[in-house]
Amino acid sequence: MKLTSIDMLAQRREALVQRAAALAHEVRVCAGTACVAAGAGKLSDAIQREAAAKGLVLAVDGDAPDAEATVRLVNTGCQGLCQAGPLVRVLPQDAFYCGVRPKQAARLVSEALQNNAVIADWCAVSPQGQRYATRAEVPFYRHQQAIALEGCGAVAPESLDDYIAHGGFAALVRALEMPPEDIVQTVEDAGLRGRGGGGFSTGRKWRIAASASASERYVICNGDEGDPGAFMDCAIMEGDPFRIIEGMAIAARAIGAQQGFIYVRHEYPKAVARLDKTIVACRKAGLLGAGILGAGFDFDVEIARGGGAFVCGESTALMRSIEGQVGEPRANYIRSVQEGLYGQPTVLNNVETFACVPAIIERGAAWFAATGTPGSSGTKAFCLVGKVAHTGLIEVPMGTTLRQVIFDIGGGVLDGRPFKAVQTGGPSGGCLGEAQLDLPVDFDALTAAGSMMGSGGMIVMDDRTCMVDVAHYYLSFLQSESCGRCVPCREGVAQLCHLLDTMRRGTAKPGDLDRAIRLAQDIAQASLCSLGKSAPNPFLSAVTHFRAEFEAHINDRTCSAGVCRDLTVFAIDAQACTGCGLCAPACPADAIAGAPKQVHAIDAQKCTGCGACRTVCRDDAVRALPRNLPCN
Amino acid sequence: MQLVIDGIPCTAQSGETILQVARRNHIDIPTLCHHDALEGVGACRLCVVAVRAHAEAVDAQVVASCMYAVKDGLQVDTATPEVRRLRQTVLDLLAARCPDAPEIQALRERMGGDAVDYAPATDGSKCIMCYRCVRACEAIGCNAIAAVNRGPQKEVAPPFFDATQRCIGCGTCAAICPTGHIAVTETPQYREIWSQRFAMAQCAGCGAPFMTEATREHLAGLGKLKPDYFTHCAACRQRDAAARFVRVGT
Repeated sequence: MKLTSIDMLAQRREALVQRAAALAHEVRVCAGTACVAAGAGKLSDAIQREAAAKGLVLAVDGDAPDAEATVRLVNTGCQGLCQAGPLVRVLPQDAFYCGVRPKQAARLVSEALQNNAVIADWCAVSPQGQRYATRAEVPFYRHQQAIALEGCGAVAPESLDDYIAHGGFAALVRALEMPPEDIVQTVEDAGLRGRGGGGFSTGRKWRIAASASASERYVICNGDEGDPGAFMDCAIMEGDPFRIIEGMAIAARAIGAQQGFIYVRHEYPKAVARLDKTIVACRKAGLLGAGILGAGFDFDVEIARGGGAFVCGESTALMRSIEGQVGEPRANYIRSVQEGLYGQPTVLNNVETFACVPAIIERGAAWFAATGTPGSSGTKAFCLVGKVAHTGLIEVPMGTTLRQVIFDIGGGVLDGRPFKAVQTGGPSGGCLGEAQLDLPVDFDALTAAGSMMGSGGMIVMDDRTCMVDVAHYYLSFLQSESCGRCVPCREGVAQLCHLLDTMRRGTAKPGDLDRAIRLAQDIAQASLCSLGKSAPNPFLSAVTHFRAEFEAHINDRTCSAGVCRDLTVFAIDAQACTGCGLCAPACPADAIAGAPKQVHAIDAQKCTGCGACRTVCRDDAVRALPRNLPCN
Repeated sequence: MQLVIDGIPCTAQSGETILQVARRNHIDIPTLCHHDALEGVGACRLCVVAVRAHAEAVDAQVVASCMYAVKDGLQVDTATPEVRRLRQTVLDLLAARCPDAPEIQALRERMGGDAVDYAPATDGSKCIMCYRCVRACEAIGCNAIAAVNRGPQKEVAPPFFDATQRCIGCGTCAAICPTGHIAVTETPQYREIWSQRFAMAQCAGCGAPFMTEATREHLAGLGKLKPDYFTHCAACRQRDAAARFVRVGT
C-alpha cells in the first residue's frame, strides 16, 4: 500500500504497534553470518516446527500476525556476540541464550514461550560461575551503547512494516518538516564525523554540497567495506537496510539531491539482495521515488556493485567506478563535495554515518553530542576480532578506552595469553601496544598515536604475534590492492613489502630498517591519494611501538614471537610435555612422533615451522627457539 | 592572479597549473608523465613541489605541480631538500622497476642525490606506467589501450590482451612513450604493433608507405581534413603546396 501522506505513515505505525502489543513474546534468532554458519537457520526452522507441533501460532519476521498468534519469531541481523552463536534473545524477559542447537528448540518453545520461564542453565555465565538472567547484564553488552546498530539484531531486516513499527521513517518525516538548512545545522551541531575513517564533519560536508551551485546533486552511500576483519557496514546493510535508506533520504533532503547510489561490494551478495528488496519495498510504499509521503520531495536510490577492488572504497575512485570508469582515485585538490560524481556536488558518506543520521534528526543534536568526547561525539561500531575471547560486533561511546573494549567487552585475550598489540583502522591504520591501552578511542587520539579510527576493524594480537610479520601482511595486502596509478604507492609499497620480507627471512642488512622508514615517509608524502598516503601506517606505527622487534629480526635474526619460519625452530620441552598426543595429529608435516603418555619429539628435518603444534598444546610444552642463523 | 615560484613573482590565469606557470617563467620542474598535449594524470610524482598558501604561511604541502591549479598568493618552492628527496625516491623506484630503460637511469644520475638501490625487477619491462600512451589513444578517439590490473601488476594493454578493432595502428602510443617500451615493427607493406598487423597505405605521389589503412579510414571519418591528407604523404603535400606558391608568385 502506497503511503501518500505523513498521516498515513503515522496511522500505519499505530496499527502495527497495536498488533505487536498483543503478542506475548518476541524471539529474536540471530541470522548474522556467523550464527547462520553455526546453524541459526536450522534452529529457526526447528522453532517453527516445534511451535506448530505444540499448537503455538507464530508470526514470522515482518508478517502481519494472525489473530491467534502469540509469539513473533524474528530472524534478525547480527546481534554482536558472533563467537557464541547461534544467539537467541527472548523478549519481554530479555533472556539471552548462546549456542542454541536445533534440538533444543522444543525446550525453548515449551519453557520460554509456553511457560514464560528464563531457562537458567542456558544463560551466559561469567568466569566466576555467575549466570546472567538478562542480556543487559552480560558484560559484552553492558558496556555498549547502540545508535548505528540500534536496529541491527532487533528488526526483521526485510520487513518495511517491522522497521516502521520500530519507529522507522519518523526521522524522515521530521526532516520533511524542517527547512533543509536546519537539517544540515542539526547534523553539524551533533558533531557527527565520517564513520568511514576520515572523520570529516558530516554536517560541514553537507553544507558545502548544499551551497555549491549546480543543477544536480548526488548522495552516495559507501558500502565498499574492505578492511581485513571489518564487517560493521555489512552487518548494518544486512541487518537494518531501511535505516540506511532513511539516512540517505534525509541527506538528500538536506542538500537538495534527487538521486542516490549505494556502492556495495560484490562480495556481499546478501547485502546486495537485501538492499535491492529494501529499495523495491520503499518505492512501492512511496518512501522512494517521486513525491515521497506527498511532501513534494523526490528521491530515488540505485545500487552500484563494486568488483572487489579495495581502492574503490576511496571516494574519488568509487565515483569513477560508478561512472563506469577504471576505479582509480584522482588528486584531492578538487573536492568531490563540489565536483564529484559526473562533475556534480556529491555527498559521500559511509554506511554507519548514514545509520546515525535518523537518530540525530529524531532525538536532536544535543542528545547525540552528549555521548562521546568533545571532538568525537556519539558512538562507534567496531569489529572485535583476532586473539580476543569474545569476538563480534560492538558499538561503544567514543572515548571508551581500548582496555575497556578489549578486556571488559572482549573478555581479554584468548586463552589468557598476554596482550601484545591491537590493530585499528585496517590497512590505513596501525598497531598500538600495551602502553596505549588506556587511550580513549576517538578520531583524534588514535591519529595522534600513529594509528587511526578507520572504518572500525579492531584486531587483537597476543604474544605469539610477530609485528614484522603483521606489518608485512598489511603491506602485501596494500601492494596488491594499490590501484597502481602513482609511482610511490605502486612501486614504493612493493619495495617496502620486499624489505619487510627480507626481515622476516633473516636476509635483511643493517641499515635496512632506516631505509624502510625513509621510503615509508616518502610514500606518505608523495602519493596521489589518501590510500597511498596512509599505506605506510601499519609499518610506521609498528616500528614506533615495537622497534626492538624489528631490530632483533635484522641484527640477531630472531623472531621472539616464533612466527617467522626462517628464524625459528620448534622443540618440545621434555619437562612440560605430558604426552597427551594433541600435537602429532595437528602437524601437517608428520614431523612429531611419540608414544601415548610419553614425551613427544619434533623431527627438525620434517618440521616446516608452521607452529600448529604450539597452538594446540595445552601444556605450553612446544617452544619456539631461535634458529641460530649466523648473526649480521 | 599573482603567485611566487622560487622567489620569482609570476602572473597566472585561473585554471592554470603550477607546472604551466613555472615553465612559462623558465623555471625547470622535471616531469615524466606530463605531456603538453595531454590532460594531467599525476602518476609519476616527479614534478612534486612544496606549496604554502601565502608568504607568511609556515605549513608547506607537497603537491604534484602538473595537477595543482594555481591560487592567488601561492608560494611555490620547486627544489626544497624534501622535494629533491622525494624526486630522488621516485627515480630510485622507477630505476628498480625498469633497470633496462636508459632514459630513467640517465635521469636518475642527473638528479645527483643520495640514491638508494631497491630490488630491481627482472621482467625486462621498460614501462613506467606514465599513461601517456593511454591518454594519447583516448585523445585520438580510439581508446584501444588502457591500464589494466592493479598494483605492481598494472600494465597497459588492449582489451583482454587481444587484437582489437579499436586500434588503428597509428603508432602514436609508441611515439609518445618516454622509454621506448611499446614495440613497433615497420615494413613497406605493414606495421605491427600490440601484436596486430596493419596494412600500410602508399602515397599517391611518391609511393612511400605513410599511414596505415585503418588510420586513413579513422581520420577520413572525422571529416576535418582536406582530401589530399589521405592520398599523399606529408613530404609530397609540402612539395605540392610549395609548387602552388611558386605558380602564384610567377
